[in-house]
Amino acid sequence: MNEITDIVMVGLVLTCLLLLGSSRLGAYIQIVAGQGVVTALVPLVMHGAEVGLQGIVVSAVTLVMKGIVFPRLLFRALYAAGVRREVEAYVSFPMSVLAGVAMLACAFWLSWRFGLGETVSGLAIPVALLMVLTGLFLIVSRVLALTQVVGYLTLENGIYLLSVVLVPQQLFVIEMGILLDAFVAVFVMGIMIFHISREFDHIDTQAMDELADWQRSGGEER
Amino acid sequence: MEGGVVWGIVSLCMGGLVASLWVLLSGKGWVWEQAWAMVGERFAVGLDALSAWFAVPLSIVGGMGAVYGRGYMRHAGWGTRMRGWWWYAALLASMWVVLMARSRMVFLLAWEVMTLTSFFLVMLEGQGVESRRAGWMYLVAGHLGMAALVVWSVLVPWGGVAKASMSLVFLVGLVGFGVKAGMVPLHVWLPEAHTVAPSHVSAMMSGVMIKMGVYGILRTLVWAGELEEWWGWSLICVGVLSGILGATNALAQRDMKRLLAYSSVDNVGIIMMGLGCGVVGRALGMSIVSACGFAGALLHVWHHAIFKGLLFLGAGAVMDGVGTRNLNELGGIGQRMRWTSVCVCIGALAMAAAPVLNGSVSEGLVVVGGMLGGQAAGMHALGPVGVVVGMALTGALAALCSVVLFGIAFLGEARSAAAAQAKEVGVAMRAPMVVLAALCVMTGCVPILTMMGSMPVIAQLMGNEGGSALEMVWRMTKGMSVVAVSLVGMGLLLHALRQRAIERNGRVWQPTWGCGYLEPTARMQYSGLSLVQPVLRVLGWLVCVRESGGQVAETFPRAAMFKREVSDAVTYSLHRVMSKMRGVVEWVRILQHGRVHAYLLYIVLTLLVLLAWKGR
Amino acid sequence: MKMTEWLQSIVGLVLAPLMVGVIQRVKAWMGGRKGQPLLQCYYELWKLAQKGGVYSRASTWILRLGTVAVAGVLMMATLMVPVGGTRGVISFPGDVAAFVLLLGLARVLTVLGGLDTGSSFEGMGASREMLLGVLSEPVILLTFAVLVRWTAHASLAEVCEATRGAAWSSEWPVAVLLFAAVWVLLLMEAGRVPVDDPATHLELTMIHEVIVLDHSGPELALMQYAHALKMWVWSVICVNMVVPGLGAWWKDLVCGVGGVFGVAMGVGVIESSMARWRLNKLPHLGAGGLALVLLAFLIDMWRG
Repeated sequence: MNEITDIVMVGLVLTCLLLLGSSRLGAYIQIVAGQGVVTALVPLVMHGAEVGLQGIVVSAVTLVMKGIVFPRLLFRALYAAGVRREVEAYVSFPMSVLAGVAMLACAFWLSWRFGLGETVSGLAIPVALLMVLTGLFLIVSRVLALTQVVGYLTLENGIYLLSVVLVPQQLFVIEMGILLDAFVAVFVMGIMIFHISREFDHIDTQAMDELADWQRSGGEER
Repeated sequence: MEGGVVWGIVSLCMGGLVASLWVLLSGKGWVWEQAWAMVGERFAVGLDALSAWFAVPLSIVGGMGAVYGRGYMRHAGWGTRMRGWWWYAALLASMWVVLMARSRMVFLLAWEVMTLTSFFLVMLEGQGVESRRAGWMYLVAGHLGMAALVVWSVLVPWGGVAKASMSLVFLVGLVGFGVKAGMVPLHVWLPEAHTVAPSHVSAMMSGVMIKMGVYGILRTLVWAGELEEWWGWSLICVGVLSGILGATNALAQRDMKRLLAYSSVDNVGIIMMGLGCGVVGRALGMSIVSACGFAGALLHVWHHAIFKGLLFLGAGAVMDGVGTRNLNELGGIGQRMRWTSVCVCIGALAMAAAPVLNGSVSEGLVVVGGMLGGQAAGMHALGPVGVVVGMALTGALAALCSVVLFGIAFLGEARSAAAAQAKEVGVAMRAPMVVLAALCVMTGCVPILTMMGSMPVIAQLMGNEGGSALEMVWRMTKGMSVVAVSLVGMGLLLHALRQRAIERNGRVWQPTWGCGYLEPTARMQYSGLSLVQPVLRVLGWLVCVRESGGQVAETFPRAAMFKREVSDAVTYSLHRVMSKMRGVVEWVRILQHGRVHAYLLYIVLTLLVLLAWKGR
Repeated sequence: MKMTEWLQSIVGLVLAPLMVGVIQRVKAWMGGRKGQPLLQCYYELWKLAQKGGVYSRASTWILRLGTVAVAGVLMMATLMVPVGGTRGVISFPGDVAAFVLLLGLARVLTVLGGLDTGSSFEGMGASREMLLGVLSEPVILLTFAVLVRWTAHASLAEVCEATRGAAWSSEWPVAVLLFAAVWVLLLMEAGRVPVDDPATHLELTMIHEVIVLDHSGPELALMQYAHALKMWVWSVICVNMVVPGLGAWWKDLVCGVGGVFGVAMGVGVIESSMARWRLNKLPHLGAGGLALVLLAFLIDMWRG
């Protein structure tokens, strides 16, 4: 569409790749916060003065939540759990970055396939899809619970961007709904991470299957 | 007697070389047809540009191999030697017939003779378990490929009108010829067989025989007329897979010949990538892409035959002069085997696609084909761009292979007593290597000559849409010539300057600087596997790397051991599948119980069924 | 062949060692030191060229061939990339591939020269250098593939001409991404921080310096000169995407040379502000570079 939107979009793609490639928990939280702030500003950049009061409110609320509240909650959870600062992953970081590029290709293909490309901005839809896919990838491929929250937030950023581009009219309703969800999720996960780490001395979701009943009882019966 | 045989083979080869060059340069071929009493078949042989193109390396490497074999087999018994020459001549002849066959039975018979003679040559020297295993694997793989080729030969039009869908023909041909060409995952026999065969036979098999598979695929493409894009994509996939897996496996080998055998797999991958580019380019109507791709693939057929032939001969020379091919026991033989080391260095650098030598021209063409194909619209660009990435990885890994091959074996200090007493090989073995090395340099510096020969073949492959596209290929080859020649000039100039400075200020010979360590031994040098260890850390998942030991505890640790073994992941998983299948196959053996009467019954039943079918 | 083509090639051949001086100066300045003279590198080359040769007893003709060929190869490469205005001295369609193959030859011969002495330290450098090759080669070729696609030209001269100033047009996302990717390549190929620290004094942490441990006198001078040229060619490719095209060839030349020294300063700043990475993090850099190029490719594809 215009130059600034393009800059923002390329920047968002880079944040996704950074997320996939970085190995520090602190960096994770900061990157996703930065990504949230940028996405929050997208409607202002894209539609300029036409957004109106409602749009400004949405952007402001989103900005505050994603830029300040969520990172704070997550950092608190990080310190409370006292976990190692390194992200653990099933897929190595270089591979994750290349998978990110593959996901971008996939996103381009999807938006081309569904004819979404022509609607608004050249890059916005594929980038939004990329963020959704990156979020899902992070949730699946990272071990620690905290990183799954980060993945969830990335996913949410993607959905927000998608709604900005596709349904700018109902932005307020959608965004408030999602934000509430995200807030609850971060909050609950924050508490949970704290409790998991207190009970088990780690927040490794890999070890959660020890909780399953069937395994132990099955073993005893045999 | 033996000398007569050798000179006979060499002179026949030279005759063949002249004939095929004449066909290439004049662009005129011939076909000779005759009715044949055999199962209503006709007997047809012919020689066109495509056949002649493959006959040239066959003649060169075949002739040089014969001269070399004279020296190489001198320790073998008289019987072994004569058997060897007989099979060698039969192998050469059968390959000629494969290239010239224009009808079904001629082709199938020649192909089978080619497989069998090379099998006997593989088994020629070996009595051990290893060579029996290799021969067995080769025989089984060859005949599985043969099964596909029988189907192929029935379906393919043999120059006439297509009866079956050409896509099906292409697929069946890809499998059947892929076995011979050593494409991943059909390559499992190749490293085994090429390792145990006598070196001049390995040169023949690796340089020329696996190209018969490429020839078959090209023949299918020529007869198909219209090419479809997905054929190109499948060639590209197979090529990228062969290139990367072949090269990764190659660099982890200890045995020089095994390394070279795996490197043949990667070079076949390069040829396939070029062909894929050509097919995609032609299907999309981008004639420049297809010209570059086909030209690269065709030139690489020659170039690989020359440098890989040279390298196998070099490995044989090392075997002869040192007595081992194990890289961990070699080292420093460059100082004692000067001729061999110069020749192998040229071959290894050609394998690494170094400008001035021939590998660079063909690989450069394939890369440029991929890059230009990247201009295609939308998803069509992905195939050619895949070629570019595949070529990049293959090229980098192949460079590492040649560093392992030449750097570990010929440079540094001797790692064993045998290597310290290496002796240069005799003239009979040296001369063919020198000739092939000279050809490497010539085809690398003046690729215009080889391009001229390939023009009619490319025209055959591209239909009639060459023209301006070939112009671009010409300009690029000329440019490569300019680069090569001026690089040589620049090197000579710098050498003269350096020489003058050194002459003025004197030179001193000192021990290698040990960075303060006083007792360095030759065992401390990097070995092949330790040289590639960082790369295997990144790409190790492509092969099976098994490591054991290496743990050192305490302040003054006791002697520790570390072992790293690398094996081919495809072979490994194929073995797993095969052993699973064995249980099923056991059931079939009920039919094969050794009672002759029952076998006769099978024959009678077959006859009756055929009669009933015919009399319908 | 016009005078201007030769002129700009000679500019590259002459000014390349100055880049090293600029980097050193920036590093000194950032570290609060005065630093060596800008022309120090030339003095060193001159001094080395005046010395005799000290050779390892294990070494053969390979080491000497290697140095000569490496320097020759890099000089050829310098003749191929135009720093401003006109094309390079050597230019033909498809010379991008020749360029890449030339650099590959330089790498292989450097490594063989290291192995020629039989030193385990040089073997270590060789091993790492080859790892760098495996990581950077896909990025290099893919970068050129995207450049060829994007500019619809297949020779370096035309590519550089077409990319000139692209960062200031509507094509800027591709240009900026490629610029970043080539910068990564520059760091990897020329062995600067965070890939390799040229200032390190411990053999175990070196890559490029350790391979030439047994080179001396004129040989060492040739290797150092070749190294400076390598930095020069990559900077030129990098810079061509961001400096504006001004029309007149001499304006472009001045602009290009200025840009190259700007890159040198950038390298110096990076070098003073971060540490060398652990070797096992190098794949991250390779993957990062590859991701940048692929991104450029996808964006170019998406835009039609």
